[in-house]
Amino acid sequence: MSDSSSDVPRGLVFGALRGGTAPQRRTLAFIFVVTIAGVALLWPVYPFVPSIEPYVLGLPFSFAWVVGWLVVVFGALVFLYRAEEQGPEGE
Amino acid sequence: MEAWVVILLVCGGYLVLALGLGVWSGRTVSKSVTGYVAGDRTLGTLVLYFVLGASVFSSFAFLGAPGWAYSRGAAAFYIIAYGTVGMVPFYFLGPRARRVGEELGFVTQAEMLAHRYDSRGLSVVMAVLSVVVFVPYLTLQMKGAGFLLSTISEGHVPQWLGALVAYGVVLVYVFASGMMAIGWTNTLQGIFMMIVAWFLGLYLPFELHGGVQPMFEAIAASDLRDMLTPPGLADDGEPWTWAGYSSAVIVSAVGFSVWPHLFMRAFTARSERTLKLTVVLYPTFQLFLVPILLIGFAGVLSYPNVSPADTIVPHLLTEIELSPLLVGLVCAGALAASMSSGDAILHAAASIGLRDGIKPLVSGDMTDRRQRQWIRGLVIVVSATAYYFAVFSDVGIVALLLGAYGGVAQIFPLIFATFYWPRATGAGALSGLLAGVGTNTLFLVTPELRPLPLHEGVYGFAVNILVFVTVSLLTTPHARERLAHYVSFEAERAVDRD
Repeated sequence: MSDSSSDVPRGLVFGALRGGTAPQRRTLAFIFVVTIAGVALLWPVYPFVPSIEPYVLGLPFSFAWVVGWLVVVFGALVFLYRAEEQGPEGE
Repeated sequence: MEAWVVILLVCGGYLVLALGLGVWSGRTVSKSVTGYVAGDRTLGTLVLYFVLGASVFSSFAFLGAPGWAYSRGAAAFYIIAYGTVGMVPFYFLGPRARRVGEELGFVTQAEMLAHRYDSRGLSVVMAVLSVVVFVPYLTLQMKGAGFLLSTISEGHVPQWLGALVAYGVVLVYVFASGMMAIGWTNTLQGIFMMIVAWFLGLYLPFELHGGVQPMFEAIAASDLRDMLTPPGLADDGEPWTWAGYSSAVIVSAVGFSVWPHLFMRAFTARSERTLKLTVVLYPTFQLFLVPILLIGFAGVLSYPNVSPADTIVPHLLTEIELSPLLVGLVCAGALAASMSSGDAILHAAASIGLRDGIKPLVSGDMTDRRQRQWIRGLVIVVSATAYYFAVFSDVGIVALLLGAYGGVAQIFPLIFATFYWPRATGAGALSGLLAGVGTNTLFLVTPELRPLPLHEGVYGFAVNILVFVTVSLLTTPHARERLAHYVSFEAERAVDRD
């Protein structure tokens, strides 16, 4: 190595997530929603979702379920972006 | 005039439009490498939205994806599932990469990694990995375009000619205008393919079954009901396993945002805000997969036994009663899907080939002029190679590309650690990446060795992360000055004082 240093922290550094201010809580809430969306689309949750009935907007339920989570993630992204770009700490 | 002539004229009109727009778009940027590769970092939300959208949805969108729905039913929901969460990391990683890129002059993903990990070897490995993945990817797009034009013209245009014309256009505009051509043609192509997808995805179910729900009810009432039950069918027609489905979603989702041709678009954005907004809007592009899958489901009962399954769309187009003008537009939309990925891949392969593969091995500086000549030369070489495989060779390209997903996903831990794990070292990154790609390839080639029926990429991740973390902790960390470009140490100091 051409350069090296001994005072580099060993663990992960999430600059934006430390502490308990509003933007940090918001980011954590966002990550929580996305994680839920991910879990909902995988085993062991997705197998318990009804596969065909009831139909939603003409789609079998399991199909609408996947599309629904895409919409939820979209909503979460919009929420996070609006808050970040309009808040006092926005760039 | 015969129907196929009208169809070809419409497609020809689209090709002329794409060519004109592509060549014209290059006039606004500088003649520098940053201009050619990253559009001088000036792309706005609209163009970037279509670049990210259209680069991802290739000829797979109009051939492979409806084919999945047609033959494997609910398994096709996987394509929507992984994209739902797959783009989210880019909201956090993209703007950080953009900032460092502007500071230090990066235009490719590997340049950033090579700097962060202080490793020229890493950059060359990334270049090789990219080219190995991109050439088959481009080959597949060419095959798709050639196949489409030959089917739709009832064989009057042979496949070799169809691929040659469509990709001749791509070659010319990428050669002439670089990133700006990708941007503006992808905007045209993206709008085109979205309109076509929504039109066809709603028209076909109504025409063939009287509506979307009646179509699914008819499938559910037939002996094919099982195909609508997740996780659908595997490619042998047997029910797919939950382990296979879930792990495939995870690997594809993780890999989604680190595909080199996608990730390097972070460096083209005008501002962090633009890039963030693009990621926020991205799911609206993705919704177009819904009609795409409906197209496939529309064929299930009406046209059984179409083989191979990914020819279902051209098959439907030749069977249904639709004016040749509309068929022409649909065909042009499918061509747009193929070309919008093909151009991005071609441009990325040539840019990465020079910046990460050749430049680090050449001693001394290369002038901007020299670099642009090299990239343009590589654009021609990569096109010719892919065309050779598309037309003259019978090598199993599809299998190669399937393996690529797990391989590309192995880049993710390196990107993540770039911004969040300062302790990660170059030796760790390089050995982790090689171990991950190696493990992925091993289990891809010899599936019978897998301990559990999981996607090979999962095993790649496990080995990758283990090696990456272990080797990093055993080697000396990089200097804080280097790391400070990527990680904010202030937050960590604040915690230390607590």
